[in-house]
Amino acid sequence: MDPTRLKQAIDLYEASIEEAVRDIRNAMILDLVYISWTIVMIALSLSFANLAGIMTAFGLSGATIATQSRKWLDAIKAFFSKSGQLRRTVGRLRTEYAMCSPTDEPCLDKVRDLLRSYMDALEEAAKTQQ
Amino acid sequence: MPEETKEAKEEVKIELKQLEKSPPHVARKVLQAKEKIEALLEEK
Repeated sequence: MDPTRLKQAIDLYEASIEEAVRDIRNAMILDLVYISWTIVMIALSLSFANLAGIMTAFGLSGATIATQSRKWLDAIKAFFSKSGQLRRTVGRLRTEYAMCSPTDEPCLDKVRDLLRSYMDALEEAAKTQQ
Repeated sequence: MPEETKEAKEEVKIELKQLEKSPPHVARKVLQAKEKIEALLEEK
């Protein structure tokens, strides 16, 4: 296995992991914005009766906040656990790669196989939970 | 088998199981680069 190509593959894997983590974080931020907006609207509706009516018509209430808050907490948990797991795989690949000398074929092959295993596991995740 | 190697293998197994439970949209995002990664990993 060519060490330069292997390193490029690990870099690419890391870049796609970072992009996926960014996506989870963005979803979490959007949920937070929605909750904050609902809270502000409910606070305003205490002073403006018309607004309270409009909000009721749109089904925005304390129950919505409670549901959204739970959803957001789940999103936070998912973000921290998933981003940690995904980044750990990059860390392991980098460590294993750093321990190989450029001429140590079996060692480089081991890192390549590990990267392939990670991709296979992700493929399984993409397939089974649609 | 040395104890450290055994431990590392166990850790990898756990990591793989966790990855298999990743949300599908996250997995798909990473897999977008799969073809490029595979091309790099292919032996010349």
